[in-house]
Amino acid sequence: MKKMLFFQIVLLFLAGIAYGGPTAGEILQKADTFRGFGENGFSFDLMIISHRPHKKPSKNRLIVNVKSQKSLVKFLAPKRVKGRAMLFEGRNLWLKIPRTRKVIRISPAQRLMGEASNGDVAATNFSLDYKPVLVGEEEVEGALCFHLTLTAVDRRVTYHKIEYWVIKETGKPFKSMHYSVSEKLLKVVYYKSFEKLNGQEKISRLLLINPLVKGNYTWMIYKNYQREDLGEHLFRKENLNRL
Amino acid sequence: MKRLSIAAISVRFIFVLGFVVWAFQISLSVAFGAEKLSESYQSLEFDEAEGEETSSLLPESMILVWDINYTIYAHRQDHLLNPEKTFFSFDHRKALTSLDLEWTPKLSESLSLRTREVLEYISLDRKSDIGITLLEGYFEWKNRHQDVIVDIGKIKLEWGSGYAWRPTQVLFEGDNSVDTDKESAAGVEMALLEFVIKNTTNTLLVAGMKDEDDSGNNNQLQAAYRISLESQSWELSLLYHKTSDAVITTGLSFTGLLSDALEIHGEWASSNKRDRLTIAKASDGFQTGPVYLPARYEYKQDSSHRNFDKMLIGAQYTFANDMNVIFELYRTMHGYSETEWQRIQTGIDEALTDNVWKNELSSSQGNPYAGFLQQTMGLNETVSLRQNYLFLRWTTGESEDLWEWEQIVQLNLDDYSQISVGKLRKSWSISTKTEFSCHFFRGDRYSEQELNPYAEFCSLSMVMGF
Repeated sequence: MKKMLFFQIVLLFLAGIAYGGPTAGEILQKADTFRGFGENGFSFDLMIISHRPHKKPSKNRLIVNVKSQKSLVKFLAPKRVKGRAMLFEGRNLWLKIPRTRKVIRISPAQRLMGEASNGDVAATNFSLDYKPVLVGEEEVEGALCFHLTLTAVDRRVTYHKIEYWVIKETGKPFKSMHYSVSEKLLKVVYYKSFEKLNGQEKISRLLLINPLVKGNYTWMIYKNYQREDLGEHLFRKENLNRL
Repeated sequence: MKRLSIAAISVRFIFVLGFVVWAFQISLSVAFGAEKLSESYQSLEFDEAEGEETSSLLPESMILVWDINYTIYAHRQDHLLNPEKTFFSFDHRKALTSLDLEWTPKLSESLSLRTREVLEYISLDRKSDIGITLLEGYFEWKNRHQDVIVDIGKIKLEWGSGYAWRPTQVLFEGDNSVDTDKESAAGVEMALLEFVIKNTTNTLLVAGMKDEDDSGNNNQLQAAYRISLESQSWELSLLYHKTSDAVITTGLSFTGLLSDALEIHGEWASSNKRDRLTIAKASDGFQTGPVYLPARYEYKQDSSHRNFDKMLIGAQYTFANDMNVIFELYRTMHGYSETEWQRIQTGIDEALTDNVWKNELSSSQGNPYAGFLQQTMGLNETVSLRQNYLFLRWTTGESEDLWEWEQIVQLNLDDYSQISVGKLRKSWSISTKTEFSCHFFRGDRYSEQELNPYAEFCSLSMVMGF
């Protein structure tokens, strides 16, 4: 019995050496480059189009500034909420209500943009928020992918666990399934298309599906990725009245 | 017993209704939510036409809102403070249309102008008026790192973490309201310096003070220093405020997250001057010739040398179905105590005795009994007359068809009178939203809300964004 165990350990060790492929962390970091510029400051325009069965799709148009784990979001459309602004600092969310100077704290659970959660809008960097483990290689819906399991590094993160598939050949994100603490599947995400901007490929369309309600899905359309010299102090709640 | 039952029924009504809606939505999600994702969305392709943007006529730096509002008021008949409708005549209808323009042009990389002005046309029963008000207009300079900011001009600041009341909102006292989604009060002239040191934001300002009638600034000045500290899921702010007539207020406010769904907040402020007059007996009743003049009460400065505190503790909870509940308890020592309220009641009774308020009595300000009734009516402009309050706000979140219901109860825990508000909102298009709301003011005789001249009022408003 002891011999069997010894051989198993040796085999696992040898398999690790023989694999020699990228580590889970490297795969995740590479996939993140398609969603932003890492910890550097950048901005992008985002359109969120939420579909529900037999309903006219609802649209939100936002400008998003990102630096590290902080995001500043300004609403441009629909016109009835133009001027609304939000600051994300992990789980800390602040909302500025148009026509007032009031900045109120809202809880992460409050949804303001249809199916897309506040965390979905702000999430651009899984490497900072999740610890990855490489499950293996899998063919998923016709694509050969690395399968990663991501576990939230702390309570501040929107989802407790993410099953993440990254295309082996290109390193691009392909699909992810997002779970709550109670292991309930909350979202299924397909990373549908990418565009080359200033020589770098970035995600341009993301499809977000509510697995609990048939026919509920949301498109997130990304445009105008730009590196920006965004000061750390821009991301303060006092600045929500200064956008 | 009857008082208790009014309050209890209202609170229970809110909770029972909330529970029913919550249970209904939960059951819906159980019934339909269990349906597993069966379609393959991988083949779903984006329709380019969907992503076409509707162009806005206005630049990004400009927000223009057109607001049309029609309100019908119901006033109390035989109002204690307005006997035989002698002192005040109230309008029953108000039509208001306004254009609210917020414009924030960037003048250079570090300098911008920030303005908000409102053009308003009001039509009441007997008169109409048109006017333009500059609510805010100031220059803002910030350095490259945005850790030093200077604002100079007419500014309106919002401090505090409370929803219905903000005890640390010392710059604009008396601006608390159960309606918190729109502000129409103008700012004051001020010079403000904001700077960041590590994870603290520091604000230092010198400002003018508003006249009590809100007509403009007087010659008095106020200065304040506020430090705000953020750490993890908590924010704590400390405040020091002083006016040129030596009124000093210190305060603190905090907010924190206990979970993704539960937020808590609190505020405390202590001032060495009361924000309202106290009440005292001016003279005992006496016989003068054939006429008996009852005891007379008057409002005067509170000369007690003590601090007056305001405290608020509250929480906000969001349910999985988007339903949101805010709960706040508020205590203000500026409010009238039970003893003072008894005096106010006695003062009203005495003023109404044998219609003495009607007599032709000579004093520098006319009939002192009539003056007392009118002054008491003026107190109603202050939102919180008493000391202990409960606030509950419940919103459903927007339905799939963009309907939203909001219910508010503000309960006076000293006399169990209450304000109940119901609001039904609907977004009809990308630019248009309507709201129908009703406010009800209820209470026993001599309670705070029974002294309110309004019994109820209802409004219909349409807001269009450009």
